[in-house]
Amino acid sequence: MTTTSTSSTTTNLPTPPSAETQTRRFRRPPYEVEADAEGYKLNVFMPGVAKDGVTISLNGRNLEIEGKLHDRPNASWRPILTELHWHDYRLRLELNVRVNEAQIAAQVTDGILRLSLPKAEEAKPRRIEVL
Amino acid sequence: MISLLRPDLSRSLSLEDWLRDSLLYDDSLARGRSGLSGRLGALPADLYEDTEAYHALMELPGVTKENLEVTLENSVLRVSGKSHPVASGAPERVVEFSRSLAVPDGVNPAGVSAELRDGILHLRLAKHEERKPRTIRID
Repeated sequence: MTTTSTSSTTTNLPTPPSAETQTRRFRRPPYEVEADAEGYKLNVFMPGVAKDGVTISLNGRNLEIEGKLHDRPNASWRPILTELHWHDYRLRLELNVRVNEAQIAAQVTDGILRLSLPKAEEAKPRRIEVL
Repeated sequence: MISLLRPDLSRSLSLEDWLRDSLLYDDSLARGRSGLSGRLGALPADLYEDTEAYHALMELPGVTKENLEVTLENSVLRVSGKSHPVASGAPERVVEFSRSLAVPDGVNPAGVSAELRDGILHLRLAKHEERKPRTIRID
């Protein structure tokens, strides 16, 4: 299933109340990183977040990712078991390697944000010829 | 119940920390200790009811419907499957999971529907007619 659709409404999961009516609380999403010589691939697990709910900002070394849930359980449902936490996501990471901001690519599929952070040229490993 | 919710610590991590994190994560997976922990958490679920149906919700990021099986047997709802590799495509990154939920009696097996969207599974289990609340008219 691709999940790049806009948040069309479903009858059972209405849109969440507006941010003004409730204090915003965030979950820190789980994530994983893979590194190679070219850069980093960051996968952030944010189930319930579609493409248009993701905000990514890079301010100097600070990378901030926010994910807004597009649906929450219907308020009229009677809870029987509640183990999930229906909060928006926020992840703040400090980069210690310079990345090429213009080349950052992001994709959201099935509740996973895949972020590609290519290293800036000067941060890439260099092969030194021994003469 | 282990809460997966943590207050935002505004903790800054360096890339080295990330790497350490992901190494630890791989390690725990390799030993099969934590199952989906870190990847899909401990597979928590919500269960609700309204007058018409029960609603089970689960977080399954990275899972597609082809990789998902849902069964209902003797009032036990079982969701199982595997997540596809996220980044590297290495086969060992495929993670199998399952979660069973006891649902109240009175579910109509023919009235179960599932929607998987953006990593959230929503199962709707329609109640049998006789289980639905009824308003009795007083003549």
